[in-house]
Amino acid sequence: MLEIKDIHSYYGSSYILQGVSLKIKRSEVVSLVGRNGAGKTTTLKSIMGIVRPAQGSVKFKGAEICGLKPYQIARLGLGYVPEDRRIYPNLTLKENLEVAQIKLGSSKTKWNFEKVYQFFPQLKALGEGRLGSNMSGGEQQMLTIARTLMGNPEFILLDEPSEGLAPLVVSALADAVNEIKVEGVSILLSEQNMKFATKTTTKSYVIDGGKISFEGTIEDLMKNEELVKEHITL
Amino acid sequence: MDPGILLIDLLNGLSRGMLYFLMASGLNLVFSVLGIINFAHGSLIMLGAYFTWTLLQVIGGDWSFIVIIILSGGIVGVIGILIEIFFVRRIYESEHLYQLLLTFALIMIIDGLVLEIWGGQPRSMLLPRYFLGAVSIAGRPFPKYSLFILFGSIAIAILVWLFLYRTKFGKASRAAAADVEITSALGINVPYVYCGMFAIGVALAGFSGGLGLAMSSITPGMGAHIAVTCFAVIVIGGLGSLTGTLIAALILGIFEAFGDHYFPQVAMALPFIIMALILLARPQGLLGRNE
Repeated sequence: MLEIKDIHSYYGSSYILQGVSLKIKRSEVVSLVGRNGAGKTTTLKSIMGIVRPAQGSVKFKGAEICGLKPYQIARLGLGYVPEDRRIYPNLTLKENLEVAQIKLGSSKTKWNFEKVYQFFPQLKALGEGRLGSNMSGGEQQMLTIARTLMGNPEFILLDEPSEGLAPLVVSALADAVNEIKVEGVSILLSEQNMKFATKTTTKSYVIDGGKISFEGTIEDLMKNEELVKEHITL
Repeated sequence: MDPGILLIDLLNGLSRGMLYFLMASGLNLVFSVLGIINFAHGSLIMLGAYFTWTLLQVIGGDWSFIVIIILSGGIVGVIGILIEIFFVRRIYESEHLYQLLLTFALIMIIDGLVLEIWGGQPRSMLLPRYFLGAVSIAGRPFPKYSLFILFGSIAIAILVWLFLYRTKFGKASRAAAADVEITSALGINVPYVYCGMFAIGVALAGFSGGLGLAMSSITPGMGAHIAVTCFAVIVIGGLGSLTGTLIAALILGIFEAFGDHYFPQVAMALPFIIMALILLARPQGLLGRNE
């Protein structure tokens, strides 16, 4: 469904991605693990068109999307959940969700307020008029995921959702990710937290210094103690 | 003091304040969504007044007056779209200095064109007959046209609010103001939002020029003077806050109205005295965010 071939990306003048290739099939949930600065976020941003790769190919549902603008890529059915919970602080909870629906016009979609609130009852409990700035970290993280779902994506790029959250919240998030998976949405998850990755994904890539250093099942990865020690914090 | 006179002064101040809000709101909207400080905003207000003047000459007629003001705002808005596409769009990523250079150049171009097209002599508008004269409020005369400005501005302010908070475009533009990257990744064509928002901000300028300058005579180059007032308003209110702009505009209008009446010697300097005092206490403006 999503195939990335040998992409090279720069951030300013620093050479971040030095030939990354990934392949994710429909309904698959794959994790991309690695340390800070390994190139996880840049990989997701390169897929989304936020960072434009200098070279390489990104194919989504068989069509080349490398070089398209982020809004065009989003409209093809790719959803992006940024790290650091970038919700709109100046918008209400409801408006945060509405923004992602604007591109869809009035057509009926799979995800709507009702369904999203059913997924994240904590959000409904906050009240639709709550300002984005007036929410806890965990609530904001749920809102960023809910917001992306409102755009009705077939594929979600999920960037370090567990970062900086309390263990209980992380566990609730893992449940939510698994439920999204059941809905048939494919996910590429960038993570440092192996607990979260093993709970939600079966296949894994390890990225290090802008290159993929491991590809396989998550069990194989966990068995490889050296790799785990070197690249991942448990 | 006579309460009737106080009431008239207050109404005068509100009318003036609401007009200042209308004039400054477009400037603040463009700044908060696009991050562009448009120094030519005052010149576009002036342009709206000149279009209104010409349309009044060409179309004339008492009953077309309101349509003509709206039409002038629309024409200035279309000019805004062209300015965004051909000039402003190129400097979003550039340093702030380029904004100053570009929009200052626009002032000179607009002023030059106005001088070329309308000439240097002051022009005054022919108000429709039903706006001439005064109504009696608490036994005192109050100009009918000031009343029209007051209610017209309130109506437009409500429309702007509904637009920002009730329409998809308004919500998308508030989202883009907060985070361009994410808004784009959520499927919104941000350049399109920017262009539309610039056009709306500029159309508000044109509209406020037609509405507000109909009572005074208009001259080429008056845009710079108006721009100074607009900047005072948005700086006092806090950059990026429309509510702040409203409060600041009303404060300024009311102080000016009372100042004109009771301390005419310092009335001219009043906006700047108020600005200095408020900024001393709150450097970010009344409702500006502390950064």
